[in-house]
Amino acid sequence: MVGKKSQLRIKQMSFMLLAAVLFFVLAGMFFLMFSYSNLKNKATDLNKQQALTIALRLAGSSEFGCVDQAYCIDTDKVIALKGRSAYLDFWDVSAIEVIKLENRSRECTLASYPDCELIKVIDNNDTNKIAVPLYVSLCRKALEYGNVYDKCELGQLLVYYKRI
Amino acid sequence: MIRKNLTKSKPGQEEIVGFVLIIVLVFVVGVIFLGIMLRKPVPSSNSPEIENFLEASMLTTTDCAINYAPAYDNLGDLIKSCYEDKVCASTNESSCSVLNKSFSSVLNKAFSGERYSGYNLEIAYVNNETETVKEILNISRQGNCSGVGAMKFINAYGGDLQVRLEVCYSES
Repeated sequence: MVGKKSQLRIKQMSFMLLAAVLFFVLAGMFFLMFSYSNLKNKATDLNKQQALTIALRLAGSSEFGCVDQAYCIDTDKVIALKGRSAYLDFWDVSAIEVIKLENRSRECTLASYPDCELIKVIDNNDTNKIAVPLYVSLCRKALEYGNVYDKCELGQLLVYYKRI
Repeated sequence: MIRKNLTKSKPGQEEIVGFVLIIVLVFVVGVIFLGIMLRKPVPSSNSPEIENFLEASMLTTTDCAINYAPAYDNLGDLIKSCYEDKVCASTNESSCSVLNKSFSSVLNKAFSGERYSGYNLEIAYVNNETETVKEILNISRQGNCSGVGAMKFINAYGGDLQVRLEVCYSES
């Protein structure tokens, strides 16, 4: 009689343990499903953050930036950099563009500059890319009445990153 | 007989209470977990995008040269010229009128797309010590809006020139 009762207790305990293990396995699977569903979005977000950091760094770099000014890009320097193959993999982004905020967006060449709005600095021809825009002041040297001065217009620095 | 049944049912009752407690505990933990997972980030009223716009736009060259062309003021300098009620030698207009035109043009270029529904720009001189407030410029499109915004402070004349911009985004 006592042995039967103990067997029943052991059975009860084993069922309880099985239920507990099942519960934790299910809860774990639920948690993993939630975590991994956002993995792709997180990777894209990280790329976006990286592109924004690069945009901020570019605006202050000697290749792009004006002297002693934040959020300022010297377009005379940028047009000289356009299409240089040495810079294609230098910044590890899909593309870099500088655009004036105007109604038109004519692409700049050395011949058409500064009567144009868009400078495509580098382009790695990635198909699935997204831009991170940063407002910048686009400055260049201009000549008027025989005097040279800095002419600045509002524009955007667009750093493209790859969508995953 | 009844007494014997009562003593037998006590362990059963205890097990039921324990089971209910476990269910409640699991439910509470689940609700907290779901609450954390589904919580949406609260949008900040101080926008880095607008702050970035204000910083960059201050360098924009205007048509106003106070002394001689081509020593044109940028927007930041023109705010100071407007506070001092100066006249532009290049256009024979008041600096405040040119400031209004130039800032309106810059704002329209930046915030005229479908993404935006309006903006509100206020520039004022504030001196907390003398409790002086002087409004310099107010540009508004499509009335007041309570979207995201940013402020820029320019130290001048013993106080601050405060540039405050609010931008409203379209709902869709």
